[in-house]
Amino acid sequence: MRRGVGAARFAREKERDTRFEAVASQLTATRVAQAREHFDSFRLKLQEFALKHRDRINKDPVFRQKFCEMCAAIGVDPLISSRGFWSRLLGVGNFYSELGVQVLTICMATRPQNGGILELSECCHRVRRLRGNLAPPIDEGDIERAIERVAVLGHGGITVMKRRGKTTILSLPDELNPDQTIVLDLAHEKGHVSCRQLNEAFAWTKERSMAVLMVFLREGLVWVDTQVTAEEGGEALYWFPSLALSRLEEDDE
Amino acid sequence: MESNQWSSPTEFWDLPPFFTIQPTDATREKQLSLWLQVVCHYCRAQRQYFIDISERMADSAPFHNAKAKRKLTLDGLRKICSYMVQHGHGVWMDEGQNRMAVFWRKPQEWAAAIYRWASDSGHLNSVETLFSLREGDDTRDQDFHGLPHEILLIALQALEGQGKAQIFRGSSSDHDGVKFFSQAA
Repeated sequence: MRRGVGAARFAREKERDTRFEAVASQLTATRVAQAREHFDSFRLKLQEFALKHRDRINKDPVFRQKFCEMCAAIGVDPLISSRGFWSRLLGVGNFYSELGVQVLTICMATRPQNGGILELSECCHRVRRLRGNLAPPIDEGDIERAIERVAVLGHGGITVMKRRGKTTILSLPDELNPDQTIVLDLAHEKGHVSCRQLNEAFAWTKERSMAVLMVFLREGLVWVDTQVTAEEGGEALYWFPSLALSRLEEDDE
Repeated sequence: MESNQWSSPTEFWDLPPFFTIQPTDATREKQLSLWLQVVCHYCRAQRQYFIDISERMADSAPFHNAKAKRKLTLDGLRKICSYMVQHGHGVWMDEGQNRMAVFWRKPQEWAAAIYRWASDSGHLNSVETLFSLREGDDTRDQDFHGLPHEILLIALQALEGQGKAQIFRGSSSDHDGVKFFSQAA
């Protein structure tokens, strides 16, 4: 006897498929509902946590960083989520906006002397001085996060450059071209560059090096030093003040 | 006082290119304003009142930084002094502009300090010699004590311009005198 042949079999299989589908969609719905429930309870927990530790989040840089890391790991951005939900809850959003403005202010204020290149540590130092002793303490991580916030302002804003274990804040009117970028990169090593250094590092001609250095000089990114002693190489050095000063401080320590 | 006890008000003083006058306008402006701070700070700490445009001057602090192995050229020194004169923190003492009086306080500030002293210590409406203002026991605890005659005179002239004092020329600079007037409120 052959089983399930003909119209009856099709009907049966169809019915079975329908049942499977029904079960499947029920399962999916359950999972979604569960996930939503988890998410809701998680959000509640996070809120409770944030409220409970509000003071610490605002006052303790290490704790704040951990909190931000935790939020980042689970894809919640406490700074922009829920249309100011967090800022209402914590004032955290305001915290970074305010800090971002302070960082920008310092970048602008120091531009005449550094041409828009500022070491993160120096920036942090200056922000602390600007905020005064009574303000909650901040650390370099806070400054980086604040810069990410203001970076959304777009072109001509500020960016962060990480090179050779150093973090530098760039607030330049134009983007750097590739030649300029690698010169700045090399400058992180000693705080200054010269035609010879560029020739040794990249086999550049004097003309190519000078083209970059003259733009840097004109834009105020570098200070020229024409009193270089013979032991120091004898040729003009081009100094990036903020990079050089942070090196001097390290030498003193 | 030894110069090595002095520490610069700006970290830029430790930066070698600080001793090369910068070719870019905006950078040079910033540099000269930092130099003005450095010179005023140094002169105040050392009670130094004059700067000569000379190699000897360029070889000594704050124009020479042994640690950075850099010093200013005479031309650089002159540019800094010109900037200070331009901003009211100095005045050339000679036609050839080779010697500058440093105003680490501006003459009006000296004037105000002197007048305050005269008024607080009951020296209004009487004549004082400039010598006693500079060297007298009564002014020993004042910031203007020890101020050179030339600078004191400039400060008092500022007071004279405000109608708060009158200067009397004596037979020698030590005999120059000044009378402080009480101000009608």
